[in-house]
Amino acid sequence: MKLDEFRDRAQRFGGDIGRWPERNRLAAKALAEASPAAAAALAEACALDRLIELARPEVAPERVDRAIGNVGRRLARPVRRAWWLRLMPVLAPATSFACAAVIGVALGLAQPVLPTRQDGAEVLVSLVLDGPPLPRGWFY
Amino acid sequence: MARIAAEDSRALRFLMDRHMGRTIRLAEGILRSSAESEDVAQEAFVRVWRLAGSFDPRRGRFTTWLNRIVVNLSIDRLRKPRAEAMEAADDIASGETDALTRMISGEERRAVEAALAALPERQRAAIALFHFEGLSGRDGAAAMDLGEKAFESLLIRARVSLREKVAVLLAEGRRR
Repeated sequence: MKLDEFRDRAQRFGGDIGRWPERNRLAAKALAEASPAAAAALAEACALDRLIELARPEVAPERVDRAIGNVGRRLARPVRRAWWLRLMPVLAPATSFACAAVIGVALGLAQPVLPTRQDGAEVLVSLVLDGPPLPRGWFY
Repeated sequence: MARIAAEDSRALRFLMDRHMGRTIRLAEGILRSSAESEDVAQEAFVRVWRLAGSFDPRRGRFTTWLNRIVVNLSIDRLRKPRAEAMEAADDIASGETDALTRMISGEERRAVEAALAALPERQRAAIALFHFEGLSGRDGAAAMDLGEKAFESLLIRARVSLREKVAVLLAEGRRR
């Protein structure tokens, strides 16, 4: 193991070589014993570990008991749903159908019966599709 | 878990007795708030009860699944506007007796608390999983639904940032 790799592992996993990836441990221990620079990197990582450990939360048993009790109370409470939520399986499709019908009628009423401005091609299409039957031989 | 899925409340109680303390600690390691961490731990077990049927032991252990629920709930909570102010670092009791040691240790603890609170939430989660819970890189990565390399990358960024921030805060404290 090279010193750079050792430093990288120490920065990543801390000063306890036992917590480094297993494949690195033997080589790392050997390097820590042989190289003062590696030993210094390890000491620096250990110092940071010790600082982090100061912020480790402690959980008192009464907090655990209180949390367990609260979960029990929450699960014992019957799930109450508003009356309209209970009707949702019926209300949802009925409302969708009614909305679709209203939108359909509104669009139908809003559609102009005759276009106000048409260019030549539209007039021709309109004549063919909407007008009276064309006399035989008009087109061919 | 099969018993919980069949609504056996004694099985849930058994799991809570075993894991509630660790669950609160993990949430608190990420949230840095004791009240919020209890809420998150409770919500996590309510979810365990409701989602037990969807747990698949072939995809991982129960603890990995629980850790993932706790990490996600905690990060979600951190992303919402927080009503409560961060609790003072002094809440945590120290076991040391010597006055000078206690003073230095208190100063350092406050600096680490402040530095941890300033870390991005995912880096804080990586610190909580690896350092406070003692999980391996692989298990930490699974709890955050990440690859091992991505987890290690979060961890190294968190440690470097912590070291720098703590050094700045301690230097500022000593200048005052």
